[in-house]
Amino acid sequence: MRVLPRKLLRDLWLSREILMAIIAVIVVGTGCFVGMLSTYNNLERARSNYYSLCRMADFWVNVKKIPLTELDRVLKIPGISELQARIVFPTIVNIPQSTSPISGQVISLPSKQSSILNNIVLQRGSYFSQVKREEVIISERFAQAWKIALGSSLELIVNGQRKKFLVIATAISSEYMYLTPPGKIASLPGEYGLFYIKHDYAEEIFDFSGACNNLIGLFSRGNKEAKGAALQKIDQLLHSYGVFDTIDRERQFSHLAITSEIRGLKTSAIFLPIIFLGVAALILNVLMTRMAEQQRTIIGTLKALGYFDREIIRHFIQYGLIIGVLGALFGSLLGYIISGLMCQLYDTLFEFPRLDNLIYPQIITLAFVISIFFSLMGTLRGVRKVVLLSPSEAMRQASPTTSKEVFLEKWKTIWQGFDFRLQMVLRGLFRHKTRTIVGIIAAALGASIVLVGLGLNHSFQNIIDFQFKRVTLSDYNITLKDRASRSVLDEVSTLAGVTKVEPVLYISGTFHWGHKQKKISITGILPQATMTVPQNGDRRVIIPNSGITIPSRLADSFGIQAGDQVIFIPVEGHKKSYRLSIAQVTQSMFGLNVYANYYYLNQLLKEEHSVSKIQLKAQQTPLQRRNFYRQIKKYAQIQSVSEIAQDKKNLREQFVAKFDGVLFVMILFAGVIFFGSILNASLILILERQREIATLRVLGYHPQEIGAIFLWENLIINISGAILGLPLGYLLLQGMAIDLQNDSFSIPLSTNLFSWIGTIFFAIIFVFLAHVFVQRNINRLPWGDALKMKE
Amino acid sequence: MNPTPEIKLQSVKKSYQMGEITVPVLKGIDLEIYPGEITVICGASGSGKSTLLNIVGGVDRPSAGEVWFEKTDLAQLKDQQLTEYRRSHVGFVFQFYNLISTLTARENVQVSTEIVSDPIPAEEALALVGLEDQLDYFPSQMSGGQQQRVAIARALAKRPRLMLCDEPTGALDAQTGKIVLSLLIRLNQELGNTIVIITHATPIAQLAHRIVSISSGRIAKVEVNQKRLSVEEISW
Ligand SMILES: Nc1ncnc2c1ncn2[C@@H]1O[C@H](COP(=O)(O)OP(=O)(O)OP(=O)(O)O)[C@@H](O)[C@H]1O
Ligand SMILES: [Mg+2]
Repeated sequence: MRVLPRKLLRDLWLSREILMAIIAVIVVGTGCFVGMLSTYNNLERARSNYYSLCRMADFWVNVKKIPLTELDRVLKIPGISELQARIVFPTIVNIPQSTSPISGQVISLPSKQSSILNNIVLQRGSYFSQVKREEVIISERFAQAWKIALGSSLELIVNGQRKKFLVIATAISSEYMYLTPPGKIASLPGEYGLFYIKHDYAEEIFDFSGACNNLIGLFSRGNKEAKGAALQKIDQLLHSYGVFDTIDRERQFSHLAITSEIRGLKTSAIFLPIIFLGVAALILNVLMTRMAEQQRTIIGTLKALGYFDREIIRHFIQYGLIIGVLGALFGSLLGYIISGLMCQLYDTLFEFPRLDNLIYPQIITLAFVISIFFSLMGTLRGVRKVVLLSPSEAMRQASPTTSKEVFLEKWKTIWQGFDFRLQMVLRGLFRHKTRTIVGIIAAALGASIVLVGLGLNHSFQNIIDFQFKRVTLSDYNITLKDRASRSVLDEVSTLAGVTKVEPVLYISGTFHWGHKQKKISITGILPQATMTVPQNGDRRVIIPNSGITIPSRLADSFGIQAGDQVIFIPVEGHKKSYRLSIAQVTQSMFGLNVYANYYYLNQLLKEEHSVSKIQLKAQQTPLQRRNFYRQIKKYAQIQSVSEIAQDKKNLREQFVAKFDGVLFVMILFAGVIFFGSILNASLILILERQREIATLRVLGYHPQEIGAIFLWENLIINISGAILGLPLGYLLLQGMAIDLQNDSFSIPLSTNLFSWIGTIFFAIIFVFLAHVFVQRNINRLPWGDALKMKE
Repeated sequence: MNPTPEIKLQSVKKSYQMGEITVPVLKGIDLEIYPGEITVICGASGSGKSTLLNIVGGVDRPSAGEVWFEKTDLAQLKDQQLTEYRRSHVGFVFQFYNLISTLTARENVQVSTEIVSDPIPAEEALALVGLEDQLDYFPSQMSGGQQQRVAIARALAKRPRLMLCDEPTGALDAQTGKIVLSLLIRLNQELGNTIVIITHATPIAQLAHRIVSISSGRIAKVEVNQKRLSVEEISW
């Protein structure tokens, strides 16, 4: 090996602590990059394989009931290439081990296996046999959750009747990669099930012979507009049969869930690594500037000996190169681990036939390129200045900046009031401006990551609290399959432990305003409803006696305001249209909830069946609770029962608990930034101040007293950085919120005082943790030698 | 006896810009350095000795004037060519040795053997300066005199035409200084290098073929030393 490379290796070894700190920052950066992009690819790949395996539909149409003879007319609509009819109904499963009734969905499948759209992928057992009509294939996770064995029998309440089915197989399907009960965003595996039954049997039990209520199909190739137009045509064509909803794939719940996840990954895969690699480049720049400054004489000597500038630059560039390569190497390794863990996480959140964690050479190559690029940037900027000096210039000591007084010293009285150690700290901070600024930037970026983490955590809590402490105040919600007459309220109020009941009426239909239209469901609640309390910002919304209350998001997308009148055509009923006036526009947190007075809505529709959902309060002993459920389970009209406390718990477990892991990782990674930046700055400073430290030691100062000077310096830099990081983190969070929202849904992301204080708190913790290392270096400094040394 | 000089300086001026003011350091130097000779430059501190040496060694450029090495005027060379000149013809020895602390004696010499085509192998060069037993010592494990000898080995290993030594004994005690000086004289005798030595200590001048005195940026006197003394005969 030639001599300069040997020098390089020894120099690297000597500054290994600092280098490791910098490499750690790069490792985290490239790790996030590789990990997230790989996960992105893994998911994207698994999803598209799954879609083609199942022949995922392009659109869904939910109707009340249409004869199969209409299918041909639908197929003739230009832009539609394939169509398939299904019967889909909500159901209640009777699981003996469960106290509460469990809801699910019955979906019809052809009795002979064929290559249909939204096909299932069998997991255990085999497809329907020709032996028995009452066979059911159930969703895999549901079967696992309740330990339902093949060959056992399962009781479903379908069309108001109890039917026993033979479980012959379990399956998964790309249509339900993300499965939750309707209207909920999270659920536990056993909470909601899918039950595939033979189509002809479904026709029989639902009285649907020669009819269906769910169409799925494929578009022939075409652009977005053509597809939208085709869907509208379907809507118009089938209007008289009562179209609840036409959904293209972009809006399908499971698809939406996974695509927004995938999109989020891509955003973070770009923005997180930039922060980390940027910080790494900055602190590397500080380190290399210092190293070049320190090796000034060596550079001068090499030049005097006849080394070319490029040879010397190449030598120093290699530091950056090695750091970049090591960072990318370990970063890729970390990235592989991250994507492995994320695959595991996504495998529980979504259901895939298989989700492999692959290695993507292109991503790793890119990680190397980026890491090396940032490292070289940092190095080159640091070294260039010294290398380009003339040799005689380089051999002279750099003209000391030490003689200049910092601006604070101008205010003599204040300055002289400071302790000499504080004076030292302040002089240091102002003299090494670049370093101070780099330290502040690193701390700001680190703190912004912490704030984003804490803010997300706070937001999730906030959303759950908002929903369960302010909007939904009932103990149970009972959703009915069809609207029932008000007498059902009296029945329910006699159930065990029930203290109060309130009706809710849902009417779904289409809003029309000019040529714009949107499928909307109106929620009718009592004027003094106590269990559904719409909120406007932080005030309760008073629902006026007539007219509807719409959220501002809807008002904006329609371009309407209070006082305007929209046309509303309910799905059911007799193609009648109503003029509804907008009574008020409110600020809603998420979703598109349209409210109206319960009586007003009843009057408008002149319906006798006017209860879609019953909300109730209860005070129950455990025994009463069991009785309550036993009674409820007998009700055939029930679509689902949810216990609000349980829902809240599920949400917490599903999201908040899982996010705790993510939060931990985010704080850990932010810690790496603080650590890297602090160690780098302090270790350099210790080298530079060797003489000062030695002098203080000679005077009898304890190492801790000297360490305190460094601690002060780091606290000042990092707390001011963290304070600057607060608004930065806040902006990042708002950016994420915008990234997450679409025109019918938004997730409000916010911070609270606690997350702000928490961020500063973490910054301080990191400073103290890093200080342990700094102090150790001060203790170990051979200060006796430092005094003898010639500068 | 009037051989062609190895280096010929004509009206060389050098001044430094210190903010607003221009500080003249060399104020018109005419000097000839002859091949195979030991030239000693002496003068008071701040008189411009190092500046002059740096110009001769191609480490610095004159503000005005010509510096002839064979048929080239160093003052006209591009940076790249000037580096070439230093690389193949000049060996520098500094007052504070300027060794690289993370490299051993051998490796420090290799730093210069690696950039020329026909060097004296590092081990041989170190043997020439009497350090054959300290090949793998790091600078911190050697005395000042030993370090300076490594620096000399580093300079001579390139087989340079010119050895330029800026106060090579400045940081050494007289005893060690003498060892270093006798080494330089031996090299001059055995290998025939042209050597320029800057010194503060006038007695050292007695070793030279030619003694150049500088005072405040001008050549005060150039004398050919008729009666060279040996290292043992001088003291300072
Ligand atoms: N880069 C520079 N910028 C400004 N002034 C310089 C520079 N280099 C040298 N000088 C000045 O030029 C003058 C001559 O310097 P030089 O180093 O040549 O003196 P010297 O004779 O070698 O002195 P010494 O015996 O102390 O080494 C000094 O006054 C010095 O301050
Ligand atoms: Mg000098």
